[in-house]
Amino acid sequence: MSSIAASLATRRGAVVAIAIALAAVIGVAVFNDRGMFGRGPGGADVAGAVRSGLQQGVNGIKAVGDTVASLFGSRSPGERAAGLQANLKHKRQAALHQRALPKIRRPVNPLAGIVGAVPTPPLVEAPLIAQPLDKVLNAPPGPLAISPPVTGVGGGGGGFPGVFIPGGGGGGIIIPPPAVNPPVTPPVTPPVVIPPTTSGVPEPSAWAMMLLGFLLMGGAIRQQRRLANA
Amino acid sequence: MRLKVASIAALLAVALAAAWLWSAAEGPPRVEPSHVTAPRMAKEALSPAIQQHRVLLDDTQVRQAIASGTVDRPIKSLLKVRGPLQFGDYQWDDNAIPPGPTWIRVDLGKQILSIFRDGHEIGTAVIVYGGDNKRTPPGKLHILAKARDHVSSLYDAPMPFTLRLTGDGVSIHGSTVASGKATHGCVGVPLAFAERLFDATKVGDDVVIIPSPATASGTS
Repeated sequence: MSSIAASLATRRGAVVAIAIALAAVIGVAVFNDRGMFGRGPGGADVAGAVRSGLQQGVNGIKAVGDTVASLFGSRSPGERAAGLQANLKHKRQAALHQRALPKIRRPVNPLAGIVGAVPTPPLVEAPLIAQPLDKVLNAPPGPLAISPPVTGVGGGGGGFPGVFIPGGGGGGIIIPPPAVNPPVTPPVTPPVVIPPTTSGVPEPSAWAMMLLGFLLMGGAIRQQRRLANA
Repeated sequence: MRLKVASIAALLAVALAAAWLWSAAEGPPRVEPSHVTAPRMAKEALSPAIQQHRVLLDDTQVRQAIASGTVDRPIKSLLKVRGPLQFGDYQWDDNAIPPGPTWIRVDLGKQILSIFRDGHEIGTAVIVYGGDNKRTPPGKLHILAKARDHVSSLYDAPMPFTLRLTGDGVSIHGSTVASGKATHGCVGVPLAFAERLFDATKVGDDVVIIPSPATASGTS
């Protein structure tokens, strides 16, 4: 042991030179951006790892040896459970104007939108044709056989236009209307303005009409040319 | 006359074929490394005070990340996030990050989203994404359009700060971000984060969606 120490002491210069050379090689390997030294046969970049450790040590960052994937993984709340179905929002309910639904015809109120207009009372079906025709025809003459007119003006003998009823009494006799309940005025509600619902997609009939128009135009032009050439 | 009709028909056929080829060429996007050149260190621009909030990446880490498909291009630094983010959490720090190419990385498996500018991560958040019946499409997409106050035409849901990614409506937008939730294909982020994301991106920026391993292997 003492002989080794003695021999080292005698060759101090050589030892120092070897140490300097080793330090130079390590330094080049560590700080060489190309990584030509220290890359193992498996492709592991030893120099990069050392450099990374040094740099992160300088910056005070504790990410030595971390891969980018592990850095992303460390902040992840974890993988989602398999088999989860979409549950965050609901399908929009189909609107009335969409073509998937059948058309809905609304009664057209000509007074809609006119502020202050008196709403028309609902029509009351007259019991005029409530009885079968043969029963009316075979009924004994007299006002009793006539259905009560809707209004008291000109009862007209029961009012079958175009049908002559022999002996049909009661013509011209003003029969007061039967006592009915006083008309109930419907509650006045603000007019509801229905926005026009026009679809952005043309209906098939519109397409057909357009195609028909094109055909007609083409036919007309052809006809004109044919006549001009004749 | 016949010649004219034939020429018009031929023109129409050529236009149709071109449209079909163009639509077919768009096809399903794929994740491919867009840059394979050696990345450079990020130490040149950031001051030490800013570096304290970041994890600077070296060549080895970046090469390994590109090789493993974690990212498809060189990146320079990540935000330093302490511990796992919770649902609804996000982090944003673009202090002293210079302007540059901006892109978004969406990691479905890890349920996180990151936005990068000039190679530096400037924001990250926990996301919700498409359920198994309505999958979020993986691949390299682009921001096709932006809408600040978008309301879905398919679902009864407002979609604020929408970044539209596909023609059929898949987007990144503000949403409820909670555990056990799944969207109809969109990527949902917290509302405040969505606003920052909206302001930091522009139409045409890349969005890379990385599928979850279970989905990629087709086992789910």
